[in-house]
Amino acid sequence: MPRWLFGRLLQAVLTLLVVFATVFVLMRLAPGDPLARLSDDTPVSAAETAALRARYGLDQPLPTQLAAFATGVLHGDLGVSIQFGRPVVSLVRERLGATLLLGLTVLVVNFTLGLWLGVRQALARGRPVDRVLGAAGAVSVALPSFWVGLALVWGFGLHAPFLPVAGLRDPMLDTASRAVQWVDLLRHLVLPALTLSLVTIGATMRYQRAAMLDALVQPFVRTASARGLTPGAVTHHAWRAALVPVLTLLGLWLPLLVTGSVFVEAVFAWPGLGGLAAQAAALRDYPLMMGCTMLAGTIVVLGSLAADIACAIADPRLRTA
Amino acid sequence: MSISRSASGRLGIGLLSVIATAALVLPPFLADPMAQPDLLGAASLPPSAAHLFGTDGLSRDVLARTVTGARWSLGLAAPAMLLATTVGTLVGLAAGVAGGTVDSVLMRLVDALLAIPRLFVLLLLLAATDQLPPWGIALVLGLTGWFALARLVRAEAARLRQAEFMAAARALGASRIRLALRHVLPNAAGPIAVAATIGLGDAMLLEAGLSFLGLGIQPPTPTWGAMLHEGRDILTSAPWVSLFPGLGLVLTVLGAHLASDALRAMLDPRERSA
Repeated sequence: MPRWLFGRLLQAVLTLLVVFATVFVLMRLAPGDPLARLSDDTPVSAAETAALRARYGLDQPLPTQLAAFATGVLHGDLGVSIQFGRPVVSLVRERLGATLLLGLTVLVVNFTLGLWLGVRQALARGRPVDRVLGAAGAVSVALPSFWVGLALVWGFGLHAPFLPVAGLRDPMLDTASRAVQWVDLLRHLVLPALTLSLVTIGATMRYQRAAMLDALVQPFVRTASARGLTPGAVTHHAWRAALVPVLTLLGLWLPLLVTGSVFVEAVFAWPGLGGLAAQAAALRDYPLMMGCTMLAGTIVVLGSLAADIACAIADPRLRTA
Repeated sequence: MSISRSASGRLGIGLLSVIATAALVLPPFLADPMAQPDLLGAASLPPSAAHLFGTDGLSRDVLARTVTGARWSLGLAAPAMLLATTVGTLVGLAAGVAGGTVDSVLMRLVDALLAIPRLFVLLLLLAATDQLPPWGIALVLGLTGWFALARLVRAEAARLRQAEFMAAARALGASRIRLALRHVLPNAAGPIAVAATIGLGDAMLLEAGLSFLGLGIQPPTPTWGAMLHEGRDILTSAPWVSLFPGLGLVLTVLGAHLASDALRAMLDPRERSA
C-alpha cells in the first residue's frame, strides 16, 4: 500500500474513534435521564425503573459503560432502542433505504442540473445570465427546507392534489402490480426531492462556478484558445480541469444525504433516518440517537476518505499523507 | 473599496438593518404578541386592515408575533454567533501559533467534531438535556458552530508563521500571545468576519429548524421556528400563520449571505476586477 494511502486510512480510523468517543461523552455528560420521561406518561414503579436501568446498563460506572459501548460497536451492536424496544441496528437498517433513495435523487439533480448551471454562470461571468442565476442561488441557500416543504404541502395538498404530500407509498396499492407500486413510489418521491433540491442547488452552482472560473484562467486553457480551438472545445478543456473540485464536493455532499433530510422527512412523513433521528431526540431515546449520529459520522468520514482518494488518483500532486 | 459599493452588499446590509430595526423599535406599537383576545370569534382570520398578517389559531396577531419573532430569532442567533466566533478564533490561534503537538491534537479533535453533522450534535444534546431555556439553546448553537472557523483561523496562522514580520516580531522577543493577538489576528480578521456573517444565518436556520421540530424554543414563545411549528397544524385553514415567519427567516438569512458575499468580494483581490 502506498504511504499516502496508508496515512490517510489511519487518519480516517482515528477520526472515527474520536467521533464515537465524542458521541458517547456528549450523551453521558449531559444531565437528564432517558428513563425519566418514560415515567412521565406511564406509571412505572421504582423497582421497574431500576430493572430497566440495569437492562440498559445505566446503573454501571462510566468506564464500564464505555467499555460495553466500545465492545458493542465493534460487534455491530448499538444497543436496544428505549422507545421501540428493538435493536438500534435493525431500526436504522430499515430506514436507511428511504433516506438513500431521497438523498441519491437529490444528489443526481445537483450533479447534473446544478453543475451545468454553475458552468453556464462561469462562462457568462458578469453578464445577466450569471447575475440572475447568482441571485436565484443566493435565495436557494437562504431557504429553510421545512418552510419550502410546508409551502409545497400547502400547494399540492390543497390546490393541486395530483401529487401525494406524505409518506413513501399508498397503502391502498398493496396488492397492485409491481409497476404500479414503482410509479406510486416515484410520485411520493417528487415533492421531498424537489424541496431538498431547491434548498441545496444554490450551493452546488456557486461551488462549480468558482471551480470553473479558476480553471478558465489556467495556462492550458489560454493555449487551447490560442491554438484556435472552438469555444466549445476550450470549454471542454476547462471543464475537465474543474472536475477535481467536483470530486471534493461529492465528498462534502455525502453528509447532506443524511442531515439535509431531517426536516424534509419530518414535513413529508418520509420514513427515513432523518425522521428517525428527530423522533429519537424528541423521545430522548439515547441508544437510538447515538446510533443515528454514529452512522451519520461514519458516512461523513468515509465520504471524505473516498473523495480524497479519488482526488489523489486524479491528481498525483495531492498524494500527501 | 467599501461594502456599500456592491449592489448585493447594499441589499444584504439593508435587509439586515431593516429587520433588526423593526425588531427593536416596532413591538411597542403593535398588538400584544401573546394576547388571545377572542378565541372563538377572532381565530385564524385572514390578513385584513385590523390584522395586517392575519391572526393565528389562538386569535393572536401574526404581525406582532412575527416582529417579536425577529427579536427572538436574532436575539438567539447573534450571541450564538459571537460565542462560536470567539471560541473558533481562540482555538484556531492557539493551534496555529503554538504548532507542534498542540496543533495536531487540536486539529484532529476539530476534524472529528466536523465529521459529526452539526444538526445531529444538536439533536443529541437536546435529547440528553431537559428542556433547555432560550439561553441554553443559544449556548448549544454557539458551542457547535466554531469548528470550521477554528480550521480557517489555524490555516491563516500557519501560513503567517513563515512571514518575515512574524520572524521579526519573534526576534524582538514578542510572546506567543502577543504574536497571536497583534500579528495573526488582524490578518485573519477578514475571513473571520465573512465566516461570522454566514454563521449568523446558519444559527438562525438551525434554531428555527429545531423549534419547528418542537425541540428548540417551545410555544407560546414566538420565535419564527416555533410559529412555523404551530402554523403547520392549521396550514390548510390559515396558511398566513406559516407564511410570514418563513418569509422573515428567508429575508434575514439572505441578508446575512449577501452581506458576507460582499465582504468576501471586498477582501479578495481576485473578485475585485470585472
